[in-house]
Amino acid sequence: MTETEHSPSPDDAPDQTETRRLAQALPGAITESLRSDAGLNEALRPAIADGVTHAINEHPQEIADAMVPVLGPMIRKTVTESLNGMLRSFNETLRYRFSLRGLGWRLEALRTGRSFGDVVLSKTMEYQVEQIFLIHQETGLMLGHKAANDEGQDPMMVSGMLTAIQDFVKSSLGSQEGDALDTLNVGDTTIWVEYGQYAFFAAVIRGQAPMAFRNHLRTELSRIHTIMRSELANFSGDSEPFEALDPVLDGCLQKELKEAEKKVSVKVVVIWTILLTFLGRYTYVTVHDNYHWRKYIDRLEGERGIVVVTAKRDDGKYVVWGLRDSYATDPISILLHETDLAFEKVESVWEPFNSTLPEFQLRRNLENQIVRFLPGSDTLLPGQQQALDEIALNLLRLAEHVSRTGQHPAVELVGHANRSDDLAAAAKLSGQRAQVVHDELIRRGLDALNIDINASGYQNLVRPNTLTEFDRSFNRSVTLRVRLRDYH
Amino acid sequence: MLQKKVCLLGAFAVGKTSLVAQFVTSMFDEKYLTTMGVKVDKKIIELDGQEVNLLLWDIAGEDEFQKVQTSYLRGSAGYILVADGTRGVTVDQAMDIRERVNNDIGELPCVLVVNKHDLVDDWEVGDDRISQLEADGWTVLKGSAKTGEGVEEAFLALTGKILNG
Repeated sequence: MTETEHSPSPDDAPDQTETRRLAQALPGAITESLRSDAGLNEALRPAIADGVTHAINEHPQEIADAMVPVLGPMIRKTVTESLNGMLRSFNETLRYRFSLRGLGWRLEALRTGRSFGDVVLSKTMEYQVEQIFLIHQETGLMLGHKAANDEGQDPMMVSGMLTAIQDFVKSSLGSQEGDALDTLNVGDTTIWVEYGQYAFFAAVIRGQAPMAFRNHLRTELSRIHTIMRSELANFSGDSEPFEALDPVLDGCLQKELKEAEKKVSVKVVVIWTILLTFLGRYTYVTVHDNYHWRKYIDRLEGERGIVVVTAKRDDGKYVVWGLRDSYATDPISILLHETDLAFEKVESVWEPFNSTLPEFQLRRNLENQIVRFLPGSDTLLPGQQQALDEIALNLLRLAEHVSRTGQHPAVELVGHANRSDDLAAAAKLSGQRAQVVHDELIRRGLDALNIDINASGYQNLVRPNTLTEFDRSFNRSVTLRVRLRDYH
Repeated sequence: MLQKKVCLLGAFAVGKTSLVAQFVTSMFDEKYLTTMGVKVDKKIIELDGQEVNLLLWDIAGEDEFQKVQTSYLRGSAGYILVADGTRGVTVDQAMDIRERVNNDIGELPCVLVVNKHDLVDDWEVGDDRISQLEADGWTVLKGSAKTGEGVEEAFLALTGKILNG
C-alpha cells in the first residue's frame, strides 16, 4: 500500500492577485446586485439564516452578551413597571381583602368579571393630577398647560426647566436614546413624563395614579400627534394653534378620591335605612311574637279542660297540639281575643276528650237530662219529679264548685214541642213547658240561680227525626243549656 | 402667544448671570446652574407691537475643565454671548463657543455683550477689536451688570434678528 502525498494542484490554488481583485470588486458587486434586485438577497438568505442559527447554538453566551445593551433597558423598564403595579396591587389587596368594603368589591368583581385586585386598585387609588404640561420636545417651549388649582408658577419656565432636566439626565448619566426620564418624584408629588415624536406630556400628580392614567396620556399624546402633526413638526414658538387642545388637557386633570373621603350617596343611605328598618322590624316581630306565643301557651295550660301536649316553633310557624274538652273555653277565641299574636301564624290541632274535672262532668250530665211532658200539654210525665230533683242537685253542686273560681252557672231552659202546622202554638206550648220546669227548680230552692226560658217550639228538636212516636215523645220536653259566667 | 428659546453663553465668571438678573423673571435657584449646568429664566420683550416670551437658558460658563454643553442649545432660536471687557481672553472664548455652536447646532442669531463697561478703564478689549468683530458680522454691545447698560438692547437686538431673519 503506497501513500501518496496530496498536494494542491496549481489549478486549485487561488491566484493571490485574483483574490485581491475579487475582494476589491465584491463590495461594489454586492451593492449593485442589491440595487438591481439581481437575487443576491434571496441567494444569501438560507446561508445567513443557517449561520445565525449555528452561531446561536454554538455561542449562546456571546449572542446574549451582544443582545444585552439592546434588550436590557427594554426589559428593565417592563419589569419595573409591572413590579410597581404588582406591588401596589398586592398591598391594596391585602389591606382590603377582609374588610367590609372588601366584601363589596368582591361582589363587584364577581358581577363585572374583573379580578379582585383590579377592583381594589380602581377603588383605592387616591390621586390628583394637579398640572398638565404639553411641551415641545426640541425647544422645551410650552405648547399648552392646565392646572387644577392656581399654582402661581410660570408654566413656561417650568416647561423649559423640565426639558433642561431631561437634557441633563440624558447627557450626564449617559442614558441611551429611548431610555428617557419618565418619572420624577418629589415628596408625594410625582411628575409623569410621556414622550411623543415632537412633544411630551408632563403630568404633576399628587398621590398614586393608576397605570390607566399613563395609558390615557399615551393615547391622548398619539392623538395630538396625529391631528397636529404638521404644526408640531414646524413649530417655531407660536403656541396659538395648540389652544385647540385645551379640552384634551382639561381631560388629563383627572383625580380619584379615596372611598372613605367620598361623600356618602343618598342612594346608599336609603338602601341602608331600608335594610336596617327591615332588620329592626324583623327582630321586633320575632321578639314580640315569641313573647306572646309563650303567653298564649301559658294561658292555655292554665285553662281547665285543655291539655297542651306539645307547643313548638316549626318552619316559621307556631304549632300547638293538645286535648280539649268541648266545655272548655275555645283556644281559638283565646288566641283571637286575648293574645296579640296573628291568627294565621298559629297552627292548632285539638283532639276532643272528656275531662274528669267535676264542672265538666256536671255540665255534661245536666245537658243530657230531658224533662218530658204529656202530648199537647204542659203536664209533666209521671216520674219526672226524680229527674227534676237530680237536675236541681247537680245545679247546686255545679254552682258551689264553680264559685271557687269566681263563676256561676247560667241556665237556659229550652222548651220543645213536636212539629205542627202552627209554629206559634208550638212555641207557646214549649214556653209553657219550660216555665213548668223553671217553677219546679225554684220550688227546689234554686231562686238565686240565673235561669232563662227559651221557647224554641219545634226549631231545636231533641230528635229531629219525628217519624216514630218514640222519637216524638222525646220532643215533648225541656232540656238545659248550662254556661259558666264570671261574677261581675 | 409667541415663545422663543434663547441661550445665554460665555466663559467662566464673565458675569452673565448678574448681567441679566435684574431684567428677567427668575423662578429657579442658582443651584441648578452649578449642579445641572443650566437654569431657565424668562424675559418678555415687546418688539414692533408683538410680545415675545424669551425662555432664557442660562448655561454654565466655560472654563478649562468644562466646555459649554451645546446639547442645551438644541431647539434654540438664538443666543447671547457674554464676554468680560477686562479680560480679553473671554472674547476669544466667546468666538470659540460660537464656532462650536455653528458646528454642533448650526448658525443661529447671536449677539455679543461685552460686560463690565462700568470698569472701562480696566478694559483689555479695545474699540479696534470690537470694530473688527462687527466687520466680521458680529453684533456687539457694551454692557454693565452694575448700571444695566446694554442688556435690554441686547435682548431687543437678538429678538429682532430672530424675528426678522
